[in-house]
Amino acid sequence: MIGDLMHYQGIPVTETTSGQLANSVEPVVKGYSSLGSYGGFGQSWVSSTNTSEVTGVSFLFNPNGTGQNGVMVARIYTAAGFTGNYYPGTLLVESDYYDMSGMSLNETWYFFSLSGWTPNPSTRYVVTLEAYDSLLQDGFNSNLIISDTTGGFPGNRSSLSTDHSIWGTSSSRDLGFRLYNETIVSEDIVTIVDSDTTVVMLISNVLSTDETNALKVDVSALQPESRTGRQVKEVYIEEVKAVTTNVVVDVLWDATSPKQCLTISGSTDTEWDFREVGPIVNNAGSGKTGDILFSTYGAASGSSYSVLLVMHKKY
Amino acid sequence: MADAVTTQTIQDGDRQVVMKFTNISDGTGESAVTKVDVSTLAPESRTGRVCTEVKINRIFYDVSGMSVDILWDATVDALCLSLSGHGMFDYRATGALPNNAGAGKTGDIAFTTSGATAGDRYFVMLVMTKKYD
Repeated sequence: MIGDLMHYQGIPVTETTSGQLANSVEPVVKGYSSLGSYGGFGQSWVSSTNTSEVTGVSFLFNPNGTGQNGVMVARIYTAAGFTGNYYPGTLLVESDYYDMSGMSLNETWYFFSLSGWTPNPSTRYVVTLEAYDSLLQDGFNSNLIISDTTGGFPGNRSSLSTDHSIWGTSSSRDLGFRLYNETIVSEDIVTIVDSDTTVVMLISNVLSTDETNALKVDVSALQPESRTGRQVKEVYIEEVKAVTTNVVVDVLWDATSPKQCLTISGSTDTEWDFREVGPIVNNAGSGKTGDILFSTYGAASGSSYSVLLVMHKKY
Repeated sequence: MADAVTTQTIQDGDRQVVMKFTNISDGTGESAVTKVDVSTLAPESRTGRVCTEVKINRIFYDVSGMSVDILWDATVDALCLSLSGHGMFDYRATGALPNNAGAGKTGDIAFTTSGATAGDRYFVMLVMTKKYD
């Protein structure tokens, strides 16, 4: 017998809009899949570069007018498999079990609460909705869960056999879901100045896990030279004004193998003016893009940084 | 294994040389590693003279989790200064830091780290005045 009857929560709550939507598949061309023919469905997805604790996931149901029975649970797993064929690997977190009876007979998003799990940045996972009979045994129920049939979303759907033993995959469908986390806005990049010669950007972040090679200065997004229309190819660092809290920030030049430029760890103001002695030029090697990346070291709950870069544009 | 280090020459003119150094330690640390080899700096453009030593005018630095000793290379290396934390030192008004190494003085600058554990790191930029014989 799977799970614990003590964790019945009644019917899941209909979705609210609280929390920050971190990832989603919003079905466009809807396909209805029966949780009677399958033991569950999953969808692979990749976390962002800046993550925080996941508070829950929603799925779209449509009992199509037919009352349901049985229970269901939302889970998140590591992703096993390969491109176009990802399926659940190791279980990481699961919701309580929810009773299907009493759910709306119409199309409704239902929210399954999760807690105590934060995804690693830029990592692939699989979220699932798995269904059982009322005794939490592999069994039959006929609730309909909605997928998108265009196949146009990143990742792929997976489907679980009714005996919960085997996962299959389909790259032509994507399971509708919405993933929520706590942080509303944690990263803020403000371009203060973007002229022909100079770009000044303030890059701030509140983070609980480390970033790795997160793009902060995208030279292709900077204003071109006004007179000639030439695009910026790279920038040189003239000044740095920064403060960090419980985290170390590595500033890197983007390349096939990103090149370390400098490190910022000061919890009191760091102010460096390289104009008389530099500026610091981009010495990245093969695959150099001109962009600037940040990686952090030692981030934990409450870590943050604010880094202001004054840069000279090069065309 | 070894620390991941980089060296970048920002500027190397007749009078001034600016070099930037970074280290992300794997716990190994560095011991008297030559960072500024004066024999490899650009010679004086007009005379072709080779640089024999440098003085330190300014230091920009950020040292996290360990400390970094800046040494004048000699038979017995002489400690110039030790860095931890972050900041900037400007010695121009008070006098650039001269090389006061003793016997066997080479003119080079070496770094030694202390207390390095995996993940510790530094960024050090030296702004130096070149001296020729």
